[in-house]
This record gives sequence, C-alpha cells and structure tokens, in this order.
Amino acid sequence: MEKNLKIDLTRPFLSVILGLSLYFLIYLPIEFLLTEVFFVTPKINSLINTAVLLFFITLTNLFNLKVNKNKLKTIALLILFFVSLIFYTVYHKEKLNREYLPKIYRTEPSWIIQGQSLKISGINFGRSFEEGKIMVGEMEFLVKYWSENKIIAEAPVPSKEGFLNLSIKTDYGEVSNVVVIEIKNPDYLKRYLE
Amino acid sequence: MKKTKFFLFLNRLFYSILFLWMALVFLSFFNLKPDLKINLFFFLLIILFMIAFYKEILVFLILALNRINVLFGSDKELSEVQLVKTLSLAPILKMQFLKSIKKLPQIVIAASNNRFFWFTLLMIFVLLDIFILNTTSSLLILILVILYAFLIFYFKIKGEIFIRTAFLFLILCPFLLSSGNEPAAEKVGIWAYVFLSIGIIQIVFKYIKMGKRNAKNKEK
Repeated sequence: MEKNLKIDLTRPFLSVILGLSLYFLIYLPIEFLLTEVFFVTPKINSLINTAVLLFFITLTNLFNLKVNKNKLKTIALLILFFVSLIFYTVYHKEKLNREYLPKIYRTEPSWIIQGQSLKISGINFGRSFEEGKIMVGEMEFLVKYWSENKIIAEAPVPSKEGFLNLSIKTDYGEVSNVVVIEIKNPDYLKRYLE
Repeated sequence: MKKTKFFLFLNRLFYSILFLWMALVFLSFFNLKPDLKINLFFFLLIILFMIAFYKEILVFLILALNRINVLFGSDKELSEVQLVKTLSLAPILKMQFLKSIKKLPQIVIAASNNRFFWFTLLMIFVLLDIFILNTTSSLLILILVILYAFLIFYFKIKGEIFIRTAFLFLILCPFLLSSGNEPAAEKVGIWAYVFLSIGIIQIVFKYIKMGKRNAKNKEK
C-alpha cells in the first residue's frame, strides 16, 4: 500500500513538458489565427488561457508517461518541448508586434450611401484626442466620433460607389486590417420610395 | 483501490502544477511569460495540497496540539499506531483541540513571555500588510517599527535575525515581480529596507558597546 502511494516525479515532469508543448503548438496558433489574422475576436482573456493550459496538464497526467529503458520516449518529448519553445519565442515576438496595431472587427451597416454614417468596431484605434484617418479607397471619411474601440464616420458627398477597401490609420501612423464595405448609388433607394 | 488511484492522480497533478509554476516563473525571467494568471496556479497548488495531503495535515495538527498539551501536562504523548487510521484522525484532533482549549489561559501566559511568539505575531502583521492590504500606509509601517523596537529592548532580539529576514524578503522580491504581483513586491522591498535598517542600527550599537568594553578592559 505504501509502495503504491510513492510518486514518481518524472511522470508529472513529463506531463508538464507535454502539456506545455501542446499548449504552445496547438492552442497558441489557434488563438493567434483567431485574434491576429482573422480578427474573429479581440484578445482572449488570460483566465481562459489558464483554463486551457490546466486542461492540457490534466489530460497529459492521464497518460502513462514513464521513462523507458531506452529513454526514447523521454528524448522525443524533450525534443518536442525544445521545438515548441522555439516556436513560442517566434510567436511571442510576432504577437507583441501585432498586439497594439489597430484592428477592425465589424462595420455597421453592411452597406451605405453617400453622407450616411458608418459604425466601426474594433480595438487600438487610439484615444478621442488622437484622431486618425479613415481611408476608403482613395476617399477619406469624416470622423464624427473616435474612441479606443469605436468610430463613427460619415461617407463624403459625392462618394465613389462599389465595393471598397476600408482601413484606419491612427495618429501614430499605424494602419489597421482592411475590411470591404459597399457604397451604393443613392438611386438604389428609389425602389423603396416607389 | 479507486480511492488510491484518485489520490495518486491528485498527487501527480499537484507536482505537475508545481513544475508548471516553476517553468512559468523561469520563462518570465526571459520576458517570455505567456498571457496566463500565474496567481491562479498558486491558489490551485494550495487547494490541491490540502486535498492530496489532507491526512498529513491532520496528523501535523494533532501532533502540534498534542505537543502543547504534553507541555502543559494535560495529555500523554500520542503513539504512532493511533495516527495510522484515517477515520480516527478527526476525533483525535477534536479531543486534542478541546484539551488545548482548556489550557488556553496558561498557553497565552506562556506565549506572552516567549520572544519567538511576539516576533512571529509581528511578522504575520507584516505579511498581512504585504499580501492583503492594497495601500501602502506609512503610519502602519511606523507603528510596526515601534512595536519591533519594544520587542528588541524587552526580549533582546539580535540584529542578525532582522538582517536574515531582510535577505529573505530581498530573495522573494524578483519572484513576486515575475509573477506579476508588483504591489506586493514593492512592499516586500520596503520591509526589506526597514529590517536591514533595524538590523544594522542594532549591530552598530553592539559594536559601540563592544568598543567601550574593550577600552575599559585596556584601561584596567
């Protein structure tokens, strides 16, 4: 009974190595894609990250990770951890570079006509006294409201029509991701009037 | 069997989180800390420790209370056999606790004459100030320093003890900083400085006294 309760410390150690490797190689790339490439969601809460890491650690503790006689499994795990650490350092640098860039998550409404207001939701736009520019194609929208995560802008009159690329340039010169918006001809509204 | 497996799993999880916490602290030394709540690991570690080692904690409490009761003559020393069965631990703890409660006035009188007790009590206040209080209060620091001064004069506590405590606090500082607990690190820094000052003042006085004694001896 006493012998059974003795803990082999290599097992939790290897579980941590595998858990961290899984966290670095599986979760962090997914998080990076969601927050920095596809702009699906703003920065993920650190509490969720912690919960995911704990889940990986609990999961790896269920595996029978023991040091083999030929130690091949351990060496493979250590190599995996080393690779994941290199990957993580690259990710960390890239994440820091991108984290403070302005990002557009959503524009409302989906299409506008000239003179209409457009609401842009996102992050890192800058404070209200650090207004930047809203570029749509070659036009510049008129800023009506500017905050860290919300902008309300008005399309100039006359405006170019069609599907145009919208981006934000902050007061510090940082440019956001590009979002496509549609500017329709005012004649389009005639059908509703008829 | 299932219970043993469950506790083994908890044990492994406890050591895993301990290793993980160490790994994250190590990463933060190189400014590579992932966006995680490291404090949460610490609390989880304490909870897991309490669950995984509940028997050891109970035995420790029983032995500590039993030692107090033996010192005050209200009980005999417990044998190891009595501490083997897990189910019998709770009643034993209750019994030892009730016995020590009866001797509480005597225990309080004995503790009030013990310099270690007062030093520990004041140290608990310092730790509460560091980890629980959100603001830095100069008045509180002043009050605690005055209490320490009384303690030094009354119980003749050596300055070296304060210097050792200051060094411990200085060692603690980078760990707190790396775990993101900057306010606590700042307070630990303040207390390290206070303890160093107290210790050095005491040592300076000690050398002055020694110098005077040596001079008198030479005159003789």
